[in-house]
Amino acid sequence: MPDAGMDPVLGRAGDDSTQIQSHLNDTREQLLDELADLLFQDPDGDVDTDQLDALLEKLDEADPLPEPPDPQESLEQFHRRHADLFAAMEAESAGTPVSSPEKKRSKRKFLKFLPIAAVVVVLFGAVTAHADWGIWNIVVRITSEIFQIGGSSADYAIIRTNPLEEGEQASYDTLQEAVDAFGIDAPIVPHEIPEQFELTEVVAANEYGKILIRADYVSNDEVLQIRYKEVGNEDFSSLEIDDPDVKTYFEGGIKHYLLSDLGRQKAFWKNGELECRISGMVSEKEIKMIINSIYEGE
Amino acid sequence: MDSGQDWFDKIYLKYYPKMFNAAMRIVWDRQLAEDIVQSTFETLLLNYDKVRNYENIWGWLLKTVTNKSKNEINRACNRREVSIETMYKLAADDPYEHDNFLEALPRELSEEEKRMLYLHYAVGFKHTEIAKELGCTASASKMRLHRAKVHYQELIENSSG
Repeated sequence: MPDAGMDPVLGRAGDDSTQIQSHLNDTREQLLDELADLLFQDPDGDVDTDQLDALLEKLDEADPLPEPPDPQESLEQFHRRHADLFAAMEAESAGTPVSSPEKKRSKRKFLKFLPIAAVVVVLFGAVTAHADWGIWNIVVRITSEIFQIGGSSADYAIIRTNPLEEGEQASYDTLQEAVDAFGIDAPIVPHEIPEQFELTEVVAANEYGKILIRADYVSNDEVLQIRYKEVGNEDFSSLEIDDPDVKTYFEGGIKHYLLSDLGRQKAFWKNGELECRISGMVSEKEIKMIINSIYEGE
Repeated sequence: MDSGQDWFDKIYLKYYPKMFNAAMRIVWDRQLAEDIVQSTFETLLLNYDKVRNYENIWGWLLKTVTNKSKNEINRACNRREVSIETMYKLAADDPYEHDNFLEALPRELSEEEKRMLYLHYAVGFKHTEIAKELGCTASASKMRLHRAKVHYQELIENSSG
């Protein structure tokens, strides 16, 4: 007896709809990739709006989006938010002079940045006074929404040599030995670990062309882990973590992020090419001691 | 001739749906798309005198909403962000252990979305490197990663909601 679901030409009905869905998915993905290329391949170029419009229409056919918000409601909300702009527009039409909303906005933007600039100046002065460094030798790593000041790259962690082929890994006796093997001369290795922990393993690996160095310590059933992960040398921007439960801890001119998760302390920071992490069943005091020991003597 | 406000309102109601969809195709976030569209109309209002006389107002609107959407994507990409959500709600203990990272990703993510998140967050690839790995352009990688992040965020918020 023939299979009720089987079409002698197309196969199972289910297979046919799966194939169609798969084809539609491919079409959607192709169109989305086309859109990405149109938008981003030439970052300084103007987008051809006719081409863009046509592509968006094809996407709407291949992959319809859910209904947008109600335009009338959106317009009413817009009117509520921008009553001043409409008033200015109407006044101008009527020939009544009125101060430009745009100028008011520019002034508001400037005032908004003023306190941040003031904080940066104060911090800059505080670091200078504390460390007695020459101004141009100071590397001030301030994570802010506006800008970052970078000085000499000498304090940044850079991988200067790579002894591992892709896919290869190697063991070392100490974390410092592993870090030295990659020519990293910036301070990233702690010199003090809580005495209850014993080093069990230091391994470096080259995965997909990126270096990962890890050190594991144990104390009875508890572990302490230190990790350095290569993230590339083109982006020295600071790590940004936006979470109200995360504390910041400045040491060695670097902002470290501290977080407690079910008694486990974790610290994250970025230095040059490396994202660094410590995590383990230690106290906040102990993790700060570990961090401090990285920069002692620097 | 319509008053300024009448003209503006007609333009808003006529083009809002297409502009919203254009922004959505780029940022994949409804609230953000709405904000971008409103910001575009704010720009229109501030440049009303000039734009009102343009022949192709739709072209101007589309270009503006697209540029604002691109800026949002670029802003997100240029921040070297390591989301605490990513570090904690993904891998149980160690986000640098690659097997845990993949296993801990929500299963509702497609294989491609998981792969994008893995290559970017676990391996630390830039878009040029991801593009080489996946056989696409860096631009496509940027947008695919953005969509994966948005989908991941939605799943996490729904599961904790």
